Amino acid sequence: MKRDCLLAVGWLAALSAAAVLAPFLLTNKSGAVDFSHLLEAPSRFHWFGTDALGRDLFARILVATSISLTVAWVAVILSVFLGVVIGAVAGYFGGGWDRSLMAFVNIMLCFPVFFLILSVIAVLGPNIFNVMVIIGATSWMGTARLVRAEVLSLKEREFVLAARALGASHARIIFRHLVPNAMGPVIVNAVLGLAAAVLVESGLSFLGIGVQPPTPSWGNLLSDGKGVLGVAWWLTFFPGVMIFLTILSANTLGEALQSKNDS
Amino acid sequence: MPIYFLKRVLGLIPLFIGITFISFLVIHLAPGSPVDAKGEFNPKMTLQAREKLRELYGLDRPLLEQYGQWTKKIIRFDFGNSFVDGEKVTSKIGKAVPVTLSISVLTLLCVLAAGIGLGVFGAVHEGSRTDRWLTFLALAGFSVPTFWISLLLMNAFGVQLRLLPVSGLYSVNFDDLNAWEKAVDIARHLVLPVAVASITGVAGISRYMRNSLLNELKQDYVRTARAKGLPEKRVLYHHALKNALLPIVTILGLSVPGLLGGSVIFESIFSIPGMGRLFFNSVFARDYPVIMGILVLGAFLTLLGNLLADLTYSVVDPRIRLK
Amino acid sequence: MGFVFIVCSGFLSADPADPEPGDMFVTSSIGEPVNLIPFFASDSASSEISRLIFNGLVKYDKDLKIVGDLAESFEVKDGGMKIIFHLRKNVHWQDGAPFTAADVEFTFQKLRDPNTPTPYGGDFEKVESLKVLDDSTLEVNYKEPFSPGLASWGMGIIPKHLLEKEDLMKTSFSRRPVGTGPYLLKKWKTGERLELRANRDYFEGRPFIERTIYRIIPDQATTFLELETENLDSAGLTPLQFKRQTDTSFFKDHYTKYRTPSFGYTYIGYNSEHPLFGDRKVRKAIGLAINKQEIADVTLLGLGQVATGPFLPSSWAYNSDVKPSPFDPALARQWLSEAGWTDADGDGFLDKEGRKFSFTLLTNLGNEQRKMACEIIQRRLREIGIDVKIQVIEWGTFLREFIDKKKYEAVLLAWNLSYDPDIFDIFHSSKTRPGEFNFVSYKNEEVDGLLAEGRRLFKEEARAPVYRRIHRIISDDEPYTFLTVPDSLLVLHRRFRGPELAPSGIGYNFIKWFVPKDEQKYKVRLEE
Repeated sequence: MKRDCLLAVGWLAALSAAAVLAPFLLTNKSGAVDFSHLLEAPSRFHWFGTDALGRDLFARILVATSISLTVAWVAVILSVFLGVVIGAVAGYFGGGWDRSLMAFVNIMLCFPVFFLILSVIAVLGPNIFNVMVIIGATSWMGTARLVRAEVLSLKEREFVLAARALGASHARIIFRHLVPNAMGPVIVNAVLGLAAAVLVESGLSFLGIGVQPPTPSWGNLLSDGKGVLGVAWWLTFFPGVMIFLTILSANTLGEALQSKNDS
Repeated sequence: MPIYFLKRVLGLIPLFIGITFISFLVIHLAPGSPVDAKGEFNPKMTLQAREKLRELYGLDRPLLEQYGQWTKKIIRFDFGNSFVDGEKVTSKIGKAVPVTLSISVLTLLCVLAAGIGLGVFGAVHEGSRTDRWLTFLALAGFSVPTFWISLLLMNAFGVQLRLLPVSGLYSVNFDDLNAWEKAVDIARHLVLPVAVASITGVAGISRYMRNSLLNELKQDYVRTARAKGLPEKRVLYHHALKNALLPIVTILGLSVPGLLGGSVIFESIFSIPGMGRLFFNSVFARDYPVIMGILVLGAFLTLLGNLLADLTYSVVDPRIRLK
Repeated sequence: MGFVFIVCSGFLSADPADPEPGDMFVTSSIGEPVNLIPFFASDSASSEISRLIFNGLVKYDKDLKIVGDLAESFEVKDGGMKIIFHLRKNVHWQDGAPFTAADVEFTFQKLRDPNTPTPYGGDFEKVESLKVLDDSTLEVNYKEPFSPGLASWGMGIIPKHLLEKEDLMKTSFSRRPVGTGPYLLKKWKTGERLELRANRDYFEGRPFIERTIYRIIPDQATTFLELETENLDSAGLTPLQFKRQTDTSFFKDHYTKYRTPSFGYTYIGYNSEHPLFGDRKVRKAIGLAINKQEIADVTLLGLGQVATGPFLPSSWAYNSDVKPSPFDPALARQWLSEAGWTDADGDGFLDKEGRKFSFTLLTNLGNEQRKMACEIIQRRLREIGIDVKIQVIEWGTFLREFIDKKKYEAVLLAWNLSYDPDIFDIFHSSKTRPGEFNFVSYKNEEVDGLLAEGRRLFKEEARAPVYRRIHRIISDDEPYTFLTVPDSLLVLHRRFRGPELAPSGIGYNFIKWFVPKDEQKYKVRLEE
C-alpha cells in the first residue's frame, strides 16, 4: 500500500511539475501546425506522434496537462468551498437553515448532473472557465452532507461550548473550531473529486461541450483521436494513458487517506 | 407511525413542486427552442412557419402560465406529446426504460457478484499480494474513461477477433431467427456493454464489502464465536458476512434511481436506445415535454428512495421518529 | 457541363448475372429520423427515408434534369404562369387505394394551410390556384413567373384518404407512413433501426433488394467499426477515412469507394452590421490572408476543391471566370492598413483607435473538418496580426442566440444547395430579418435585382448569365469568404450490382440494384 501511495504521489507531483514548467519547456514552435507531417507515428522527432494538423502530440499533451489539472483543481476547490460553507451553516445553525439547505441539497441530487451541466453550458456557452465552474458547482453536495454530519456531532462538544461561552462569533466558531476538525473526510473527498473532475472533463469533451479548440485538454485530445482510431492509435493511447494514470493515482491516494482516517 | 408516514409524504410535495418548477425554469431559460432545433438550418423554413410552431406549442405564453398548464396535465398523468415527433412522452420513456433497466440490472448483478467476491477475498486475505493486485485491478477499472475502454474492447473483440458484435442490441436479421437463436443473439450483443459498465463499478462495491467485513471481523461476537471454537468458515460466512452485507443493501437501495439513469456516452458508443440518449437528444432538440417527463421520473424515484430509506430507519430505530 | 467523376477502386464491370430479388441493404444514420411526412422531413435521415416511401409529381433524373415521377408528363405554359400535370394512371397507395389528382390537391392544401408549420411552404406561396381538371390532370396557376416552382413539385404527395381527418402534427401516420414509393416502412424501433420492405406493386417495377435497413448509430467511430465488420453495407466517410482508413486490403476486397462532388460549400460569413466587417476592404483582406488551398488540402486531404462563390463547379450557374482569391498576406496587410488597421502599439496585433483587431469565429458542434478549418484560419490570421477566438456551439443555441439575434462576429458554416440555383433567400436584402437566412445582412441592389430576375426566367440559357453575374458580384463583395467544396465520399459493399456514378450521385437507380443469388448475404423471405 505504501509503495502504491508513493507511486501515486510521485506521478501527481511529476504531472504538477510538468504543468507548471510546460510554458518554459515549450518553444513557440512546439505544438505548431505543420502540414508536412500529418498523422505521423511516434518517432525520434515526435515522441508521441503528430495529429491531423501535424502538431506534435507530446507538446500538446504537455499543454493539456496544465489545462486539465487546472480545470480539475479549480473545480475541486470550488466544490469543497461550497460544500464546506453550506454543510457547516446547515449543521451549525440547524432549524430552518438546516431544513432549507438540505432540501436544496436534495433537489440538486435529484437532477441528473449531466442535465445541470448541459443547461448551464447552453446558457453560458462552453469555455474553459465555465467548464471548471460547472464541474465544481455540481459536485459539492456530498461534501456538504459530510461536513454537516461532522458539525452536528462536534457542535455540542466541550471545546465548542467553551468557545461559545467565551463569546466567540459564529463565523469564528465555524471556521476556527468546527471546520478544521471536519477536514479529514473532506480532504479524502477532495482527492477523489479530483479524479472525478478529470473524468467529467473528458466526458464533456466527448460530447463536444468541453474546453474549446485549439486549447488542448486530455479530454478533447482523447475524443479528437477516436475518429482516427484505426490509422493513428497514438492519438487516443497517450491521452488515454494520462487520464488513466492520473485518476488511478488520485483514487489510490484517496483510499489510502481514507483508511488512515478510519483507523 | 401512520402520522409520521403521512407527514413525510406530505413533506415531499413541496420538494416535488420545487424540483419540477426549477427544471421548468432552467430548460425554458436555456437558449434555443424546439422550433429552431426542428428546422435545423433549413433555408426554406420561413419565419412565419417558426412562429406557427411557437404558437402551436404554447411557447408564446408567459412561463408561469405554461407551468400551470403543464402541472394541470401532470395531475391527470398526462405528460403530453414530444415536440419532435408527436409521440406520447410516456410511450417514448416506456420504450427506453426496459432497455436501460435490463442492462443496469445485469450490470448490477455482475458488479455485486464480482464486488462481493473480491471484497470478501480481500478481507480474508488482508494485505496479501493477491489482495493488493485485485484491489489495484478494480481501481484501475474504475479509472479508465468509459469511451476509451469501450472503443478498445469493440475493436479487439468485434473487429480483430470477430467474436462479438460491435454495437446495437440485435442483429439486422433478428426477426428471421428462431427463439433460441434470438436469445443467443441478444446475449452476444449484451456482453460488451455489460462488461464495460461493470468494470467501472466493481471497485466501489468491493471496497465497501472489504471494509465492512474487516470491521465485522474485529467485533466482539466474532471473537466470541472463534473462542467458542467454531470453524473459521462458519464464523466468516455465517456470522460476519451476514452483518457485513447490511451496508451493501443500503447502497443498493440508494442506487435504485441510478438504474434508470443510463449514460449518454456509453449508450452512444454502443448504439443502445436507452434513457441516457433519450435525455441527451431531448435536451439538444429542446423537446421540453420529454425532458420534463424524464426529470419527473428521476425526481420521483429519488424521493421515493429517500423516503423508503427514512422509513426503514424509523422502523429499525424508533428514536428517529421522535425528532 | 463539365462534370468530373472518379471511381476510386475501379469500375464495376457489367455483370452477366441476372438481377435476382432478395438480400438486404444495411446502412446507418447518425441521428434518428424525425418525421417521415415529406413536408416535415427536414433532417437528412428523414428526407432520405421519406424519398423511398413517397413520390413527388416530378423528380431530378440522373443528369439533374426535371422529369415526371407521379406525373407522366407536364407542360409549362404562358411563360411559366401555368403548369399542367398529367398524372400516371394505375398507381396505387401502399394500402391498395388508387392514387388520384385529389391526393395532389390535398397535399397542396395542407402545404398552404397556415396551421401546417412546414419548412417548404415558401415554395408554394407564389401559387395562385390549383385546379383538378379530371382524375389524372391538374392545372397550377402562378401569380407571377416563378422558375423554382416546377422543381418544388418534387415534394412527396400524401394520401388524402388516410389523412383527411388527421391533425398532421400529431398523427401516427408520421411513424407509420403509407406512400406510393418503392419501399414501405415495416418497422421502426426508436433509437435502433428502421426496416423497409420492397413494394412489389411499385409502378416502376418491384425493387430487387428486398429490405433496406437504416441502423441508428450515433457515434462516428462506432459506425466505422461496424463497417470494418461488414455489418454495414454503405456509409458516408470523412476524408481521412476515405484516404487512409479504408486503404486496406480488407476494404479493397469487400467495398467499393465512391467520390462525387457534393452540393454544398463551406464559408466564413461576416456579420456586416458589426463595426469590424462593415468595410468590404477588411473582409477582402481576411480572404487574402486565408490559404484556401491549404484548407482543402488539410481538412479534405485534397478530396474537394476551393470554392469561388455561391455556386458550385457542378452547376450551370457557376461562373468559371471567377478565380479563387489568391493567398497574399502582404497584400492583406496593406489593405488592412489602408482601412486604418496597423500595429501601432507593437504588440504583434493590429489595432485601430486603440482597439485590438480581435473577433470570435463560431462554428457548429459535430463537424471535425470545420473545427480544423477554424484552427487553420486562426493561425493564418494570427500571422497578419488578427486575433481569432474559436467557439464550437451546439445547433439550438447557435441559431437562437447567435444567428437570429445577429450577436456574432463571424461564422464558419456550410450551405447545402438544391439543384435549382435560386439563392434569393440567402442573399436578397429583404431576407435579413431575425430568423431569415441572409443573416450576414448582405445588401447589394444589383444582386437584389438579378435574384428577382433569375426567378422569373425559365430557360437555362436565359438564367445562366444572370446567375453568373451574381456569382461575380458576390465574390467581389465578399460577404462570405468562400472556402471549400467538399466531395461526398461513400463506400458500398461489393456484392451490390448496378450502382453507377451520375451527376446526381449513385442512388438514383437504387431500385435496379441487385445481388446475384450466390452472393446474397442475408437469406430473406420474399413478400408476396
